[in-house]
Amino acid sequence: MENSVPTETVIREYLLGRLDVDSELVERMDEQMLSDAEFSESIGVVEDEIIEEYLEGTLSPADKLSVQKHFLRSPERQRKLQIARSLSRHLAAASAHPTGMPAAADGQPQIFVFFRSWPAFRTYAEIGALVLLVVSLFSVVQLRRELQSEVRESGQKLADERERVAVLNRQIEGVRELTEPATATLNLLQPGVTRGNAKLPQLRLGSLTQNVHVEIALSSAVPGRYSVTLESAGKALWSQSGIEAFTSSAGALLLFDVPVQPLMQGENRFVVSRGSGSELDYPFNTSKQ
Amino acid sequence: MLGVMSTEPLPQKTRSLTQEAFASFLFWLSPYPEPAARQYLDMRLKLVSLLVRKGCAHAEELADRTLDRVAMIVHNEPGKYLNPMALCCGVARRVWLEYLREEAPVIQEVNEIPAPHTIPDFSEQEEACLTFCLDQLSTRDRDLITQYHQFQGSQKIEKRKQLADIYGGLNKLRIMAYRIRTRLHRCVDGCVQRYAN
Repeated sequence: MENSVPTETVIREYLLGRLDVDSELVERMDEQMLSDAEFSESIGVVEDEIIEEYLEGTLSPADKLSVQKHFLRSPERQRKLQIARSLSRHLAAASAHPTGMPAAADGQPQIFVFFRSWPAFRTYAEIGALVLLVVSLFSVVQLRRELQSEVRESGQKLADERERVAVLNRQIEGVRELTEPATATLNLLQPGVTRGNAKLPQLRLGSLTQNVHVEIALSSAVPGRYSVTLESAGKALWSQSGIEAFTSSAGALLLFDVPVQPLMQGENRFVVSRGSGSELDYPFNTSKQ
Repeated sequence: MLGVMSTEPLPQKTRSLTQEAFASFLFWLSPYPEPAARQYLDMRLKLVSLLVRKGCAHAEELADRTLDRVAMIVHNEPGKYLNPMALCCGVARRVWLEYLREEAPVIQEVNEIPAPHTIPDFSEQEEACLTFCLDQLSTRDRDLITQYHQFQGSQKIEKRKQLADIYGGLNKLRIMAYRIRTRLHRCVDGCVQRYAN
């Protein structure tokens, strides 16, 4: 079997439902999508771009038809389209009001309107005074020019250097974005207050962390649905009910995701309960970078 | 090409999966419950994504059907299969083809597909969530996604070239923008769900 990565054109044909569903190529792409996260991500990129072109009306008639008859079949894709449409409107509205000099009714900046309505000079004396003023200013400018050129040269060097540093910083940020996971994991194995010098489990959140994947080991293997509440300083910050426990002979496990926003710096705890039964506390410490 | 299908829920198929078979399937994934459960959820998520990308209107149902069938296979012939993802992929393809051939034609009608322009706009709540989620982005990400989607046509191409120079190439830029959109998508869905609860 060929191991080369399919081109974007092929990916596009796949997403638009134009490849033979029984073909070896489609089989290979299916396998690669499940096993290769990078490939799966590149399919997501093309998928979003099809939606973008559809919204902009830049798709060919054939592609547009395929989008309408195949691509948008699934409710998940329809939701994507809905979000992309709203995002596009939102961002267009945000960039439609750039800051800058306010414009007059005829579109000219107000400063020109001001000069246009300035009263005409009526006497030569006024003109002469103006010429004198301009000449004086010119001589001052001439005197300062040498000094300014030196300052400007240094300033330019400094600006260039700052620009270079800014570009490097953005590149570093870009690399960090590609390596730092968006989801942190928190494993809580024991309920209750810790004794002696035992430390609470630590949860470290990076600046790019969006979600925390929490795994709580329950001491008893009682199947059923549990409720979990996140608390800090006695205040409930987040809760979710109906979490199904995974049970086995070794115990039971609760798996769920929590957004990072409600988590407080310092001590937090998950309170786990089932029906009207007793509650178990799972404390942990959170540090945000 | 096979036709289009309705997004109405599929008729419920009788599930033949027993608790015992499911337990042995989880054990096959990993002898430790925690990683086994994690692998199971991860596989389900990937299968749903695969089926959506294949254009399936019932991706969740077919993903569950696939996993049930894989669990039965593993339960009946333990030790025969070594690669969970490869087995899942093979079974998912079979389930998808069966679905296209046997079920989809029965329920498909062209006029049942919602026209894209009839997909409703965001509600006020969803708009509020989108604003909230955009505010949650770092300044750098918000600037990037705003500039990335700022223009159309040749202006858009030019702008993206400029951004690509800054962010280390066009492909990297596209992936970064995709990741930000994915985060926004999840954030909006989570926010809407929280309000609904």
